[in-house]
Amino acid sequence: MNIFLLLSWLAVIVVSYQAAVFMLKKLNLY
Amino acid sequence: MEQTYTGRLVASPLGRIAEFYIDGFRRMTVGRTLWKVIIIKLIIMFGVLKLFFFQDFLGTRFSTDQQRADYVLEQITAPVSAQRASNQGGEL
Amino acid sequence: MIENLDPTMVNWARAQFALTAMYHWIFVPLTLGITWIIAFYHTIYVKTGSEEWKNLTKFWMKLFGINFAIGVATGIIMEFEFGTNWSNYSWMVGDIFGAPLAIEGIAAFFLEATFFAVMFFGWNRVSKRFHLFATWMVAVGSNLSAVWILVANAWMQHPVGQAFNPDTARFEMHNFADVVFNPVAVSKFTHTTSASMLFASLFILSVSSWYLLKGRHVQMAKRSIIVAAVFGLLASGFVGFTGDEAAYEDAQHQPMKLAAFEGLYQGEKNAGLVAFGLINSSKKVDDDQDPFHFEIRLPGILSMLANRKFGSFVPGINDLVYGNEEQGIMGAAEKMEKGKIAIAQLDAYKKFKKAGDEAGAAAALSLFDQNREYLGYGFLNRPEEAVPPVALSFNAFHIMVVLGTVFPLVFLAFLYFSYKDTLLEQKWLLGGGVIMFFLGLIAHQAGWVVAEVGRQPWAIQDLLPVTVARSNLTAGTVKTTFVMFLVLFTVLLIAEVSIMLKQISIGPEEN
Repeated sequence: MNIFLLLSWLAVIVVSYQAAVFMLKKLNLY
Repeated sequence: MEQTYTGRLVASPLGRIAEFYIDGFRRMTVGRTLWKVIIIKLIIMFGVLKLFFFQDFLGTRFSTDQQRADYVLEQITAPVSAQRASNQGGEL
Repeated sequence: MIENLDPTMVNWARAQFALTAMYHWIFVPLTLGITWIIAFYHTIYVKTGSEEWKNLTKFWMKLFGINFAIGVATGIIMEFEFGTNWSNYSWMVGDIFGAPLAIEGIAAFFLEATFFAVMFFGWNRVSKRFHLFATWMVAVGSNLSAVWILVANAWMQHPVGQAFNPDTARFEMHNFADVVFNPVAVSKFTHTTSASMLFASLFILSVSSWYLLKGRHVQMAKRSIIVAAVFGLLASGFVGFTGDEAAYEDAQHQPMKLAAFEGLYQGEKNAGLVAFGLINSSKKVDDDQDPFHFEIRLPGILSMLANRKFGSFVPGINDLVYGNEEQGIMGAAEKMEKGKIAIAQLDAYKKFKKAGDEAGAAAALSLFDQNREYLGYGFLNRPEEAVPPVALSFNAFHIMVVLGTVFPLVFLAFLYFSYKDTLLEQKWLLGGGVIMFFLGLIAHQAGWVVAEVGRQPWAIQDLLPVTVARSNLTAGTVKTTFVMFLVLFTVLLIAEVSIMLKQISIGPEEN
């Protein structure tokens, strides 16, 4: 469980960045 | 030797790093106020609070770790010691 | 002597620690969270080369710098308090806490002295890539240094990897890996840091909403909001996920805490979760009053949350205090007997050792070992003392969860209206956005209240009560320092928040 928690913690950061860039581009705000 | 971004000629990497910091501090705007606040805070915390009000309890009262250990042990077994003493008194 | 302890001293010391911890916890979560968001902004700047993204990044970096300066030295005073007000505790855990706290201090110092400096001073001075790397390292480094203090706190809640040494009266670390990878520590780290990500997102949302309401820095505010709302939304989900993990850990290692924050007195199978409740704050564990004036329970959910087993038994406060033979739960009264044996053997061991009676000492030590896991209970006078403040734990927990459910909805609303490009017209949402930061403050303070009030009476779960952890001081000195802190913090808070507000009203540089 430890490993899973830590990896998903990392995933939140990585996915957030990608998702944010995606949203910005979609809204012509990038 | 090459010119750094401030135009000075500095050879050693250490010199360049020092210049980076000095130049950085010099260019601060809001940072100056913040540093003033930080310094005042640190003086109050370490120079006043720690020095006069927050001495380490065990550090100041005892000089060896064994004394500290004995004291703590005494503190946590105290009610039992008192009980034992009063029991022994009763048995006489 | 424990029997002469001044109970008001303990309470003043507690109040002082609570004051300093909560003050510290206003600023730290913003730092832990905003450093990630700034790294995002900085990355976008480097990728696009846009001056607007550069100004945006520099602005939020400035606010981060102010917050960081406000937070400086708010943590170290808690370490002062350990040594002065909590000497027994600080002595006994010294071997466990020593390494983690030292690592935290050293790591934080090096991080600040290097990467911070490059982040703030490095514009047009170092390569863009190294500059960006430094910004990411500030985020990584500050979050990693939080690991160590959370490892220390997690150890208090679930003391692993240790053994009590009766010669030195210290808990000695037997396994560093066990201490660091304590499941409670991993749970705490992931929950606390993701809550910080959420909080920082709310901060950016609040400031940006204010700009949009004023029609200022519109483009910058819109961009800041998108990134913060996406991050905040995903972080919210993870906060819920890790919150579930935290509750599970509580059920396994601190069942009294779970029972308290759910107001569960009578344990049951298929236990329900209180969705909404008005708790009866005058109820005591040994009286007949109803725990709630009013409650709405979601059936079965607490059993799932606590044990991950449908229909499982969740112990209530009564079971934990008085025992429940049917469920194999030992009550506090029985634990107190074992604890008293442990303390008595500690005393006997000391006396045998002094008298040079090795056989006697060995026998005492063996009997101590058999009862050592209940050591703390030996100090309690009544089994009811094993119960933490229930109403406070319950209210704090439910406030935290309710707010935690509101936040992702707010982020979604901001994203939706941004997508529709009608955000500027939603004055109601923007107004709501401005206060979100304050609600976030309440939520994350509430979380720590659950963690620390819920563990009462323990300084170290089951092993050392708070009343024994303290120094042999009178209330007078502690009262004085409490008032000093209150005054100092108020003055500093006003001074430093005004700097923050001034920079917000000035706003970012625009081309």
